[in-house]
Amino acid sequence: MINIQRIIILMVLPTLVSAELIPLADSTLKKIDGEGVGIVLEDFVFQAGEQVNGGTFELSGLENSNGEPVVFGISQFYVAGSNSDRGINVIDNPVNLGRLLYPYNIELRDGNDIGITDKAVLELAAPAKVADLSYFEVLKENRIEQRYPGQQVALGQRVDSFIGLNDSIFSSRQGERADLGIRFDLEVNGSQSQSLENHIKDLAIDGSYIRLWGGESRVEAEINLNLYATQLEFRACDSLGSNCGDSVNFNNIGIEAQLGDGSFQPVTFEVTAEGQFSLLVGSLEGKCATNATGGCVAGAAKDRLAEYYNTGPSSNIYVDNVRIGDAPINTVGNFGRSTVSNLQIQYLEVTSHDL
Amino acid sequence: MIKIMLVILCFFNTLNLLALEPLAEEEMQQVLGQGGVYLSGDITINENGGPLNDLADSSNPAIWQKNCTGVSTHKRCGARIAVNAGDGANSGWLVLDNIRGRFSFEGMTLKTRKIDTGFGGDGALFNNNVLEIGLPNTVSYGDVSYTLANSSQARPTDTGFNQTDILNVNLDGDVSLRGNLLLFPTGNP
Repeated sequence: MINIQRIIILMVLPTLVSAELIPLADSTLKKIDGEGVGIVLEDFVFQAGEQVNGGTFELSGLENSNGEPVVFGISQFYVAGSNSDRGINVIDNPVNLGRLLYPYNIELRDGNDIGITDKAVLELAAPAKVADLSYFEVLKENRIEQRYPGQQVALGQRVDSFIGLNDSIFSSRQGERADLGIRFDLEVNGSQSQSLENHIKDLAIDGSYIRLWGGESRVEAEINLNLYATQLEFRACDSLGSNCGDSVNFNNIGIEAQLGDGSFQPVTFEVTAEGQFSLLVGSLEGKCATNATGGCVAGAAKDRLAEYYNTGPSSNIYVDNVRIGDAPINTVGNFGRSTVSNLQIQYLEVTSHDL
Repeated sequence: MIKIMLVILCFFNTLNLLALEPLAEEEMQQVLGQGGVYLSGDITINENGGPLNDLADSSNPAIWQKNCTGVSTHKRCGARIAVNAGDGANSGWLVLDNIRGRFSFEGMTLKTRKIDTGFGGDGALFNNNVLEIGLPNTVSYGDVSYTLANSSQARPTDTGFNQTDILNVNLDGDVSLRGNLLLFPTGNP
């Protein structure tokens, strides 16, 4: 009898408990903002290659014009701290990539915040810049000329001249810019024919990112690629890796390439049904209704295009000095400074073809 | 009598009407993990081609009937990853093909670490915990190879299969990989 009573009491007991799930207050929920995962590489060194670690490290599958197989034997591939001296000082020369306050970041973002309407966007980002500015300082002037003879004077501004570099935008500090490089031998038909070297000094990619989202029927992207380096060097040596020729140096390089503008002009990468790859920066054709003379009809679509032309993606490239060896300025072998400003890619299609 | 007392005791226990309470930030911070984990790994994939490499069954497609032992020079042995970034039916596949070989490492560590100093002044401002993955100094590759390719079909057995190999990578030996990979939430989670 007592057992039955006990069982009944025990069965009833749970219903007496008035515990409940406590709702999370708005203030608590607000803290969960879905931000990402920060990544920092501390004291990082990477080195691979046949000459430094032994073994085999080869890229193959290429042929020269005679149909002979060409193999890239990689002697050294390294990522290290600055002053690596063309890959000599690597293992004891580590580098911090990313800062705790400006890390590499992987994040799912709300597309509505970044011009990609109603999409969840995967963003892979390098350390952000301290200020969202270009590395290049240019002087602009108002246009005062006609774009075509007999037509109206063009409005707006254009780049007049390059006046300097803004080093203060970098979040990566001087010791946090990596040296990386590759030395490889070309083996043609089994015999080693030449040795090539590329080295990049003090590389920073601050402000670069790639955003990926699902478009109508494919993956779409927006790419912002920033590369800054104090030197990019190419050099060729004989098959033994010695007797190197003069190097070709690109000094103080900055590349700021913006490809695509959200879902308005997406970048797509896909393989065609024939098995060839295709890179596409979307066309602007048909983005607005046109009038009889081919111009855009006034309205939201035209305003959006005007915004694209004025503040949309653009690319800048700057090379302070291109030279062979140590050729001083104003001598043969020194090609001086090159700049490309405000290049706007309005359509790009790259497709591979079999030879 | 003892039984009645037992029942009453049961009752006492359950009279405490406790709900699950959220842990305060301060209390959470007191929770310490273990010292960490030391990992070593060794993985060999598709050394002899793979499960579909069946020479005995002649009904297998020819492309999956290759001898993939160490002395073999056949190109197509190993795992295949095909990714379609387009709309499936009307587009092709980006392929990592012929993936095979052995990867091994010794001494990868996994632990949490509080950072409140160093890092050129960032540590004190950061003042938080990170997940630290200690890279293993050396990763050994044993006859690792793979092929980067574009393909018209996901699998070599699909009709209309057509593939353009872009390049082959072959790696046999050590790779130095030093440092710590620090992972932490960004923003204010």
